[in-house]
Amino acid sequence: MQNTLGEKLRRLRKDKGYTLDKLAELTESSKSYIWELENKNPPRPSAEKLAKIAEKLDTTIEFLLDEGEGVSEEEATDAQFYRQYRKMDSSTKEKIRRMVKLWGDDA
Amino acid sequence: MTENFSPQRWANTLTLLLNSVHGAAAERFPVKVPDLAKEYSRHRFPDDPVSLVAGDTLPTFDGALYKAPPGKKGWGIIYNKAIASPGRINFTIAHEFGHYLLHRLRFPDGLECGQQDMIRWDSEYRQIEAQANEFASSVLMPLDDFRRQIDAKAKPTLGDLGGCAERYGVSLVAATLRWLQYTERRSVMVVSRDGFILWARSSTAALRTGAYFKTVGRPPIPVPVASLAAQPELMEKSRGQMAHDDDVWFAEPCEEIALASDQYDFTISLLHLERVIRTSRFDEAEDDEDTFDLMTRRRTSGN
Repeated sequence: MQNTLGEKLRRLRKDKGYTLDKLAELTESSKSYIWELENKNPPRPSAEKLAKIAEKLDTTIEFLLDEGEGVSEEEATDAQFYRQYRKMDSSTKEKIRRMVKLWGDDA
Repeated sequence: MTENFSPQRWANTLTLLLNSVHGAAAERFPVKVPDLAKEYSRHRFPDDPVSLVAGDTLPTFDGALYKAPPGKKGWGIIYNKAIASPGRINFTIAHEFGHYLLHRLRFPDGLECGQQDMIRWDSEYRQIEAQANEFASSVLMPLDDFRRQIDAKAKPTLGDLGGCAERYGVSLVAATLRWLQYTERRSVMVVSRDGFILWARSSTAALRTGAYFKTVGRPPIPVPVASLAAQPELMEKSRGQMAHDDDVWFAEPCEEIALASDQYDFTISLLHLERVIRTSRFDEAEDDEDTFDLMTRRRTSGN
């Protein structure tokens, strides 16, 4: 569910039924480079290689690099929710918002 | 100032308190963190307590520490109760309680913690996350009790460590990391996925004798072809054990106990090495263990 590049890559690769070796061969990358993309989130992946990988996985480089739902200005000012905000999906955010608002009475 | 307490000091304070309340009674473990957080904070910081500990099904979320909304006082720990393993939940709540004790004044708006934090325990880790983990690990698994379960000289199986994980209400990985902190043995835990090492952790004795894997900021390290981690088909019910020669994990023989976790999609290999590295200089020694102890003592007391 998390939207990092590595997790998307790994899911798409598995959906296709490709092993690391297979995807490496198809994209003329090394196996360890693809593993690194999937598991270590390297800071500046090569656009050229990513484009090849996107093509073989039937997706786009934009989808792979998109960090998920944007943070609206209103939400971003809500400091409690700012940290790691983009990694959480919107229904989870909404649910937590409600829990904080209600603040059960078990205190 | 209690705000300057280290993670260790907070954990010790709470451990002593729990020991005096429960003694050796069976209900001492696992530590019931929600009750502990609420009751302890209410007494110690009556104006700023943990006033809420609540779980819900919260996909993509682990846990967080939130400031109470206007009109209510204190802090709330909210966690994802749908995390598949109850051990992860217990650890998460203790981790957030650690943030409350250690960091709430520095982060007056609260803290959220993402998924997979445990898997990336030793990588790219921010200091405060490490401190909250240290607190959680220490308060949930006090070393005096852990030593009574597994002696510092013993060579545990993953089953033994799993038994402790159950006792303390934590995951197998968390219990193994804690054991590696005090064992006198030379052992290494390697966590791998798709044939490469995600991260590894060595016991002090293993580290001192060069048995370790550095994964941060390095190219991926493949697991050895002859290892169990590389051959899941050799495992039975996702578990296996194998004795290796000196050309597999290290330039010396070792024993690998492996467990493939479908749930988290990684393989844990616990590597037990022999007690001592023989070097020509010490080959003559009659008692290897004493020689090694002497070496380590020299090293630690020499500076």
